[in-house]
Amino acid sequence: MIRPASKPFRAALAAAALLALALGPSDESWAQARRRVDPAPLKKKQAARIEKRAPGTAGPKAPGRLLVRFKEEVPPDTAAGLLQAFRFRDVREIAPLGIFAVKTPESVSVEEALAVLSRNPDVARAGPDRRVRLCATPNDPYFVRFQYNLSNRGGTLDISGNIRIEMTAGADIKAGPAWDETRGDPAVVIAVLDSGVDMTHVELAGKVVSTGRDFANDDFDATDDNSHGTHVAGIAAADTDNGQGIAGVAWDAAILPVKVVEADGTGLYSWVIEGIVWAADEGARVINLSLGGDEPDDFLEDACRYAFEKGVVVIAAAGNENASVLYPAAYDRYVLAVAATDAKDRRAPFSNFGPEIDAAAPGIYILGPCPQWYAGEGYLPYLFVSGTSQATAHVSGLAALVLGVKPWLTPAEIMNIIRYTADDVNKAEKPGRDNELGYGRINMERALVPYVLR
Amino acid sequence: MSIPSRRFMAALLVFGAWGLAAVRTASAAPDRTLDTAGLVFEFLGRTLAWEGEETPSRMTGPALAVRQDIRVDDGLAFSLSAGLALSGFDELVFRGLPISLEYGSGTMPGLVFGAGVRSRFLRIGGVGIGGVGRLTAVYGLAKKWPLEGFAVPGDSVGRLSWAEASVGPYLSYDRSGKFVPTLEISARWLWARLRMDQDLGDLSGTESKKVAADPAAAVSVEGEYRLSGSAALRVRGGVLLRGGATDIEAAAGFHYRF
Repeated sequence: MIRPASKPFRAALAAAALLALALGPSDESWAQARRRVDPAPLKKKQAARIEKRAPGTAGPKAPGRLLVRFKEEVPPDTAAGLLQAFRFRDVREIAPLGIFAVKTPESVSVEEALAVLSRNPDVARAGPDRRVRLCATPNDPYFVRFQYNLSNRGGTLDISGNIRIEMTAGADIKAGPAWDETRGDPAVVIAVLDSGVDMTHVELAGKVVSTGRDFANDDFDATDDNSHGTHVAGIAAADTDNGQGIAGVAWDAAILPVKVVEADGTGLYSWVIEGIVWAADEGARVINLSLGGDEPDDFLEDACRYAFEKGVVVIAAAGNENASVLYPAAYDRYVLAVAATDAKDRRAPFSNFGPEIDAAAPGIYILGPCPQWYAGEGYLPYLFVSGTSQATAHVSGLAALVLGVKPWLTPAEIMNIIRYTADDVNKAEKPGRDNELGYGRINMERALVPYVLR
Repeated sequence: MSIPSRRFMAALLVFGAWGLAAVRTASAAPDRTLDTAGLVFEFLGRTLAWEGEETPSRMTGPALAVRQDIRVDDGLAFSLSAGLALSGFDELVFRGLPISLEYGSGTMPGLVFGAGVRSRFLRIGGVGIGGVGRLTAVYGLAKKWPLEGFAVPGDSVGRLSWAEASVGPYLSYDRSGKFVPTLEISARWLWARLRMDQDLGDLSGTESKKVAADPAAAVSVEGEYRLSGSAALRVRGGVLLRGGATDIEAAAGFHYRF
């Protein structure tokens, strides 16, 4: 959660006895965490990154597929005829290399086909065809350089201005291996209950399922007038591998914008309650609540329960005051409460704590999209922002990915998968679940990639 | 147990009852005797298609069993066997569990039961022509794998049960009384069920994968070499054809005649 609002504003809010929702920390230093992205150096670095991009590494065997090379004296026609005689399917010749790519005959395993080919004196070499992967590298230009949160290679994160932060390799949510398993399902909708979403942003225009609902202005246009919601939505499910900007956690998941706070970053509990109920009724499977209030409220809890019982995973930010967990994150039974970590897998100093914390995710200097009007002319529409809001969006993305491959799971099961597969990154000081990072920093690989029985 | 497994066990019981009836008959009639008892090692390598899986798997099933042959009369014999089996198969992924699992290699233990009947229809000199039917069923025992690296303790338990039925004609030649070769052609069907249970903290799930009457044709050769009047070695080898796949079976056993 991030907000440029000041302490006096919060005091005024309390005095008015409004059940207001704070979108950001009270600590002004974290407000400075917002950094606009200067286009010029990015373009230079982008070119350098492409030059350095590693080739695809050999992956797992492709089921039922082989590569075969015949001896030089075997004419290609003879070779193709031989393969057809063995009933290999989809025979494709890669002529310059003298290689044939084939599918095994029906009901024949790769191993059996290789055994047959190895006994044939005309065959020089045969092996399984394999799958390559993207080296966990979508082609979004800022992915390698800035998105340590998804794949942390260590070194220094050089943000524009005088901000440089040291990173620890591997202090990330292990997105790459998980993307080999799934990149999400467009049928899984993440409702972003926030300040709205910039539906014209290149990262989000193709992802929003509708213009959403605006409970702050009571209309059906949830356009962002703050930037917070756009940033959060992009982290969770930005258009990815589109050659532009950033990668989202859930590449193919859809976004439902629901505006429940005004341009100043505050809103009423009633708007949030309505938003939760509306999103659940609209078919969202995940609700991202990068917001919270200080006081508990039975009606707010009822809304969370309503969504939970409709099969919706509700994920909320713990808050940025280095204090108790906010509501609705503190509704332990129905809501997954998310804390924030940094680029070294340490707890972010602002991250709220308490027994309700379930898991953590990166929340320091997270790059995400913002409306062009917010970035300003001459700047790219991306921002570095810190907060448990940003951490929460990572977890929402993960929940959407899990639901994409296992849509039958209940919210309680999804929440437990996220908890149990987390990395206990502070186990040296606090082994096991603790009140600061919960079960630990989420690990997408462990949550999604099949565990190998040995 | 699953419905297919119940079918397997029911079939086994029928065969068993048949065999026991034969024993009782043998006890009652002096010309019908217990023939041989033996210790047999069998190996079956079989390509099979799991329901819902795109590519076939290869299952291997070595087994060690004691076998009792019961000769009812000169042309009819039954057999019963029981022992231990280690069944394995190659890559199979369980994505229906809360935490997906990949079974990569290894074997699962099981109890193997077998029953067979062999009936000679025709004898011309040393050449015998008849029919043979067999049922082999493996009742899988649980194999547990701890799930490591998670925030809470957990494990997965797998159980693989399978059965194969075969029926077909045979041709044997018994002229010398010392060595009896037999050629057998059979049609075979294999059923299998692999159940995987998972418990991890408050998470639990079960996923089953099935093979339903996967067909194959087999040609096998068996040789019985009589070491003495009461001891014999039996060796058997065969090729199974399933679609384009070629599988093998092999068996070797020492048998003692009462």
